[in-house]
Amino acid sequence: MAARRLEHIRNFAIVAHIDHGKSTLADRFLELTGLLEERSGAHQVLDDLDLERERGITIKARAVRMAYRKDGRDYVLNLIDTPGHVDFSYEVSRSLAACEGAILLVDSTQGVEAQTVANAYLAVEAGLELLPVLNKVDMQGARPEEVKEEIETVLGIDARHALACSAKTGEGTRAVLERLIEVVPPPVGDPEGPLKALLFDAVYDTYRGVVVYVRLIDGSLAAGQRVRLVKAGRDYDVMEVGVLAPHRTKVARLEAGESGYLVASIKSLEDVNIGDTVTTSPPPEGFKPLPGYREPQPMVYCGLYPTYPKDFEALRKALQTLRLNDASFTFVPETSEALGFGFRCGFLGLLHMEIVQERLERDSDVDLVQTAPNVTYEILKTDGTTVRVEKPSDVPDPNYIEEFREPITRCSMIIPHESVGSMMKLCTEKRGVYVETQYLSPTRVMLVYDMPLAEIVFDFYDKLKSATRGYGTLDYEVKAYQAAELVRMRILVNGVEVDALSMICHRETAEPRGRRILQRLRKTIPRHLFAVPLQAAIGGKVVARETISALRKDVTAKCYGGDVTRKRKLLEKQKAGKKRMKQVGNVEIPQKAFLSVLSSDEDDDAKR
Amino acid sequence: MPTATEADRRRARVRAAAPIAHLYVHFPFCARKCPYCDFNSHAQREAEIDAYVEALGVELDRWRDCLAPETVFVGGGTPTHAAPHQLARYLTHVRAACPAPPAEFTVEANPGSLTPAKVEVLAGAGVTRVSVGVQSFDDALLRRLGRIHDAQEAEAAFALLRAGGFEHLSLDLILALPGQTLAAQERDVRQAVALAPEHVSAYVLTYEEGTAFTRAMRAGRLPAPDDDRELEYLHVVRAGLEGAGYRRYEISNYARAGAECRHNLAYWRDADWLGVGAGAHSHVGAWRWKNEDGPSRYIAGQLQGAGAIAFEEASDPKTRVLEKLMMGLRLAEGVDLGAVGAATGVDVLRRRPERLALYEREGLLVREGPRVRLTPRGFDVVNAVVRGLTA
Repeated sequence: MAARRLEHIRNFAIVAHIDHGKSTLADRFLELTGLLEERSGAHQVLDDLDLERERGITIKARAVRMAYRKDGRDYVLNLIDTPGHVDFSYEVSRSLAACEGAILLVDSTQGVEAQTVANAYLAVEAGLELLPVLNKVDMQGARPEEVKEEIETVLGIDARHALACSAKTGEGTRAVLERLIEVVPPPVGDPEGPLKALLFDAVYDTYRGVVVYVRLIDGSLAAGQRVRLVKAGRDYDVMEVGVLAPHRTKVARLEAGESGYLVASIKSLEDVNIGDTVTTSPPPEGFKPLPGYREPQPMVYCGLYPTYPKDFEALRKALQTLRLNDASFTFVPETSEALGFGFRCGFLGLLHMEIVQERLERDSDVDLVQTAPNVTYEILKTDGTTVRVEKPSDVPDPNYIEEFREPITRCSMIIPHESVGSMMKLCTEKRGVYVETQYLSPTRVMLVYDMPLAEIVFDFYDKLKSATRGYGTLDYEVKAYQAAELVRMRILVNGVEVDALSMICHRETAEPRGRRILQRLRKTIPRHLFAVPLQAAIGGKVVARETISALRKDVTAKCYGGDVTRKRKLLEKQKAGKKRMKQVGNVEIPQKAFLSVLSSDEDDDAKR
Repeated sequence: MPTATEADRRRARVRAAAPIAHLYVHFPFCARKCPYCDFNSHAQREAEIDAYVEALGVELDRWRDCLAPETVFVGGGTPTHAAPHQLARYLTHVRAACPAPPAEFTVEANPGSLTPAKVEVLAGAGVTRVSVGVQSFDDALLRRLGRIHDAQEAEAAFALLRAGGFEHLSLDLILALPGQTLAAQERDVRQAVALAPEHVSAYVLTYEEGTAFTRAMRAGRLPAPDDDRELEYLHVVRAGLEGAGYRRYEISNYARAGAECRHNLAYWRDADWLGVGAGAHSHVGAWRWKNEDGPSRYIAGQLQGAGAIAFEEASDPKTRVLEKLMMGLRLAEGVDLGAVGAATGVDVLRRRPERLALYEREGLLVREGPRVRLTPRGFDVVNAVVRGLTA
């Protein structure tokens, strides 16, 4: 069972920041290898969801097999695509684990960006051979020499021999492909040994069920074989194996070192785990699964509610459909006294959340109300147990809390040097802890902070963009949970607590946040016949207060016999408006008041 | 067009409630349309007045067997815009519909349209009360309001009516006009009191949909209404009139003891009345209906058919409660909720005890047994109180 070098195979990925040209370069490779007619119009084959094409983000990885002849030898090149955002860093790491090398693609007009760094680190961690490539060298404003320096400074990678190309025009792309064959090592594996394959991705296909993407380490895989998904603990009969060239193409067998897909009557994506190991059923004696498997854990939560209550079932159906394609997103029904029936949804991160919401709105006709996102907290209780807290109402009585913990991220920001001062101030405001500064070039700086995820999901990204006039880029990765001075802040309207408005926040920022919420409520709750006090309180202590003064004038000047019907209808209309309001004690709160606080898209003062 | 059976059913309902004690007559013609006015009034249509008077006669005649008016109110438009012989003719029609002389017979008059001849006609027709649309004593403001008279003419009209023997005169003021100062408002009140009317109606200017004022306000040529300012002006007027011995018996109406307008009290007390003329509303029991607005269509409807009705509706018990409170709580005497419950089967006292207690605590209303009446502060927010009690 000796491992062999599978000399003709190259498994590689392209890692890059969003919009640095990854998909375009992939298209050029497909053209060079004859899989795609030149400029056939079907560009960016790797991104087959419209949304991803629009956003320029590849969310679902794919593996494309290409054939290329160099120096009289035939090579099989497997391009394994990776998601471009660190919300999916685990998925990225699994895709990278299926490769031996990666192209580090950097836009030579933009330079190294936050996700370039994050993805390059992931590739280095995975032990991949990195080939730096500068893209868009044909563009005005390309500054390849500076960008090479940035690569060396930030990533510590020798960029002296970095290749330059233009994925758009195709210039230099053949050289990239050929250099790749030279520098990326062939895979090592045992084609005769028992099956061992990395499950690095899966997609749902309406006709075939789940299609699983695998990289074979040892052994071979063919239709008719019975396999086991080790982590899932399930056995399946393989119905078909194949490769993407670039469309699904059936093959007789997949061998060690190769990448491809398998179809096996798997009904739901929930039944497969990215990073799982595929082997024979039963597994051979002493079998050890591949390392690195992790359960994906939602880090960011928000509520999704139909604007119209009648759409609740439609929303549930839409969420179920979406989950078929994305098992990393979770949802459970919840009821909000403010917004009615809806769902609490968990996401890997902010971008993931945005994508899911957009897809929902596109694929279903449901108008959505999205509540402001919050993160998952951990509470160590006095009885020694630890609980995960996904919403403020889950917070136990303070007497039972030993330690209140929040997720902390390692956060890298690449920004223009003149923004350093304002960014450092912002990071401090956001409870960031300084880690380091690195100059990429005389004008571009990478700032690294450890920062609570809760602050990042709140409004940090918007503020970063405005502090850097749009030039700043951000990447973060959740590092650990840390104890913090966290509190549950309650909002009281006329002395009555409004559950839907309570929130978890840091003791230090509670007061300004409380005040901001109260000010928004004051603007959106109509005046009543009595003064309505608004309070934000931590435990029994009021930290902010506002008052909606009593209505002083609401009188029709003239009302005679002939006016009765018209004036009455006016009153009825006003009454109907009140019916849609939520009654809290004696106070009527309109939905827009809740939205002004809960909704994520009304960050008016956050964007100041 | 309503079918004969609809008209028959309406007549049967009215007859069952007869005799009807309150009659409203609408005269929809004016010399000029005021830019703030959204009433059913038409300028430059004098040629139609004769035919209109005949149509009024036909409609009044049709209701004759249902009517025994204790009060009559002729409103407009400008009832006194008619020529003396036209005025005399339609007042004769009105009088002919009354089996006995009405105890209160009001005609609205515009100071600019009153002449000795017309005053004589009014007195001769049995009119007991004239309501004079003075609005303000500030000539610049009057011009802005589009009125055809000035302060001097208003004073002359009062002298003319007193000379004609009228003992019940009412004076209309409009408050918080654009460009009016608080001092000017106080002056208006003093000048009104100086004319010693028995009754004063004082309305805050309302920007009604479809008026020139509202268009000008939306276009930014007139200031938008300002609740705080209006309230201040309203309070100044109230203090001035109450200080001069007038009692505020309705939100916008003040009177010497015994000089309250009985006809309008009937509206606020939710009594039955018949309205005749273009656009006139009627109310009998749970039913309300309205004649066609347009004078031409009204005339044609009366002369050729059974009358043209713009709409007719019957209110359900909850709507009746809303109507009774919305009208009745405007009165200083308030509303007997026990009586409302007995009439509609909806017991507000039992349905909304917490609201009543809350409003009482907030000093907006006073309860005396089953009777509820608003305080001056309650008057300022009457709409909100009514919404709250009927929610």
